[in-house]
Amino acid sequence: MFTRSHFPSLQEGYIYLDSASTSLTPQVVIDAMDTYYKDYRASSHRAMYASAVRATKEVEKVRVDIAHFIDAQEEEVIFTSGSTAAAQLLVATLEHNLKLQEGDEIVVTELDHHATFVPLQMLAQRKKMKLTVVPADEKFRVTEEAFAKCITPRTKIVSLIHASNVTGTIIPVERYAALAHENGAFVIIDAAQTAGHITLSFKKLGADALFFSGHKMCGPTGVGVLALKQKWIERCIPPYGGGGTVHSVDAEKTIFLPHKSKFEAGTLPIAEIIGLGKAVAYIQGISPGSIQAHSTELVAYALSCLGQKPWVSVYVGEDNVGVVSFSIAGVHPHDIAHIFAEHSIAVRAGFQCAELISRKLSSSGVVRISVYGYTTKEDIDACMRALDSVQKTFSI
Amino acid sequence: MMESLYSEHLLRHARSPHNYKEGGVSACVVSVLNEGCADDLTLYIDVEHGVVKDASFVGTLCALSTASASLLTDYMHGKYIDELRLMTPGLVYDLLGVTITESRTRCALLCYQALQKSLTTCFPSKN
Ligand SMILES: Cc1ncc(COP(=O)(O)O)c(C=O)c1O
Repeated sequence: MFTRSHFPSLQEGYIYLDSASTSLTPQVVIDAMDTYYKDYRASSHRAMYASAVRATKEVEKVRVDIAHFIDAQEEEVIFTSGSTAAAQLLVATLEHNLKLQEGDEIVVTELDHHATFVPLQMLAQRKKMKLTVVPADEKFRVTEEAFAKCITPRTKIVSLIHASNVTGTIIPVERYAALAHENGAFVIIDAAQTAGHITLSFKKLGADALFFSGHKMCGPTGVGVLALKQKWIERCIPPYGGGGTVHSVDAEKTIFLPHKSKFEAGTLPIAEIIGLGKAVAYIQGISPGSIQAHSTELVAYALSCLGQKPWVSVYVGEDNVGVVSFSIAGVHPHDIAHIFAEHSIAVRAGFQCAELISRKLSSSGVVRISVYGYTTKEDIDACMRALDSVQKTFSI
Repeated sequence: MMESLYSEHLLRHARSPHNYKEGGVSACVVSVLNEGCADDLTLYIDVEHGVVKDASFVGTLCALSTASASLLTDYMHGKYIDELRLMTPGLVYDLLGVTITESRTRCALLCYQALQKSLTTCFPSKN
């Protein structure tokens, strides 16, 4: 697994169980960004002097690396500032390019994150479209049966979360994408929780678009990726214009570039892209499948520990990316998280930016433990001690 | 480990809050949301001749905001409205008697925020 000493934030006594919010960063990633700032600080894709040429080369190298990482074509990789930004860019692109009519339908799942749910709900309201939410079942899955029921000939856009950031459930999006395509819908996959955790293949998943954030997979904040199928890149006009997107501009009109650059308006987050490239290399340095296996083992361990605390209600998907949520009747999740913080344990409490599912599980939300390659069983043990402290404090 | 927020004093008010009830028909009613977590608090203040006759609250609240509302509504009883206008958040912290970290100021001050809202909506200053 990851070597803990590679992560400078992992100081003695600090227990980090909030990787689903943002992961910690290995030193190599920090160093790569540092080198850019010190040795070749310049804008990419704009100039001819040596440092600018190097910056461009490094950014484009990362594009190639990302393409390999997610099994996509290099020309399908668009850099954004994160998952949320990718979702907005995508929704705006669809609004400008699909012929969306009143009464057309958008299908989202109950597990969807606000990053996609909210912009799609806003789109539905603007266009007077119907927004259908596929419910999760009692095991926090989105079943094929439930999904199929929501797809109709008027379904134009389908959003699927690859893994829930609340219950950790990995959704078999591949099957659902195929079903949605049979009905001619555009399929979006939110891979924010799976990138850097499980092996991704944009090609095999079969979606039209997929996005993720760098900061949840050992990379820096402020960078993300939108993978968009080549045919859409060619066909769509970009919703936002700006430097780097154009072939030519005159007083009457703008002609956009024919390739992915037309979606990358403005100066790219160069340092962050370079950091993300290093994060990808760092993850690829670990044998494939082992991060997921490690998370699976830790989730199973956490579940066996929590099983001995019948006063804790646990919400966890079976096929799991490394996330366990829970609540305690009569104790507010923020009070639980506060006691964890007093034990130097970082967890997240509340609705986790996925209010539909979180509120359904528990009215004030849940407490979430999330693991990654640097998490240990000792971290889970510390969590259990903190829970004992919660029990004592609130006389449960 | 740092000193716990959850002192016996705070927990006593969290477990059995004082004044946890809806107010009477003549009460000024204001509701506030905790933007950090979507909790809500409704504060009822009944005033006669410029003096608080009754103050109470209900809501979906954490232990800290419950204790804080319990202590603050206790404090408000019998006070002149004009006296309450001079209150600062520091007094709420004093009532709680524990250190409030940045991440919990919204919870600690939720009832105080409701009081401020009721002062401007129901009892505007005549000056
Ligand atoms: C499933 C999921 N989608 C989208 C996002 C949004 O990511 P970002 O905040 O990096 O834009 C997150 C992060 O919280 C997430 O967990």
